[in-house]
Amino acid sequence: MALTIKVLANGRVPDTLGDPVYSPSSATPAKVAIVKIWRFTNTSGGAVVLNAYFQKGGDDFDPLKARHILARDVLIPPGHSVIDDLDLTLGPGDGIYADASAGDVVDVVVSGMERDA
Amino acid sequence: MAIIIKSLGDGILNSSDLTNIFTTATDGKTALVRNIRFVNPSTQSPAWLTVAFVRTTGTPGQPGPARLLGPGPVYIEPKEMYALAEELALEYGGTGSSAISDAIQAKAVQSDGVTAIPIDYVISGIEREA
Repeated sequence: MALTIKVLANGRVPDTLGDPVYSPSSATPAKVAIVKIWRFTNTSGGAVVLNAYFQKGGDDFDPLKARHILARDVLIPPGHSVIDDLDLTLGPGDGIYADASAGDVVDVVVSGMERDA
Repeated sequence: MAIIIKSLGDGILNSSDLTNIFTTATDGKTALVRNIRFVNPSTQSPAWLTVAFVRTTGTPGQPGPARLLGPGPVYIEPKEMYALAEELALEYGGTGSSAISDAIQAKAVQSDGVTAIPIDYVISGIEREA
């Protein structure tokens, strides 16, 4: 039941919504998590528009179930970062999602902690 | 007595009257709300959001007065987010006339002050047995 401090996810933000950026495992041993902070950095030479969502139960992105968790259409100038440091608690299988107006140019790093559900 | 980390709630607030967005009566557990995110997904219409605390006592439950949890109403521009970032403890327990459950209520209206406007919300926090 100990909390594990870890990088929950890292990668690049796609331009389409599908799989979650991060989802605590719902398979045994199921996990829960607290996302402490996630960072988005635009590595391209042009501005990009970013959206981020929470979806109860995770799985494929579903616009009817997903909720915005950042301001809509956040503009990230080239070389700049957007940081969300508001704690987000996730149950087993819950998912966080993001997409950008240009794919594969926004780095994302998700920091937080996990423990068994 | 374990602490349960979870998303306490999420949904689309679409009410011009204060309505429950979370209550400890649902799971029968006390809760510590870490924060609540509200996003106005409209591209055109601003929203005026009110968030309140309500304690219900007794059996059957008798809701008490709504207590504002922040400035009310809060103005949220189109596409912007408002976060209630301060923690809030919510109780559950007791029996009979001393039974208690707590709730968070919210409403959001357009500029006319009457018409509801949809607002995404996500509530983060923890629960434990009362």
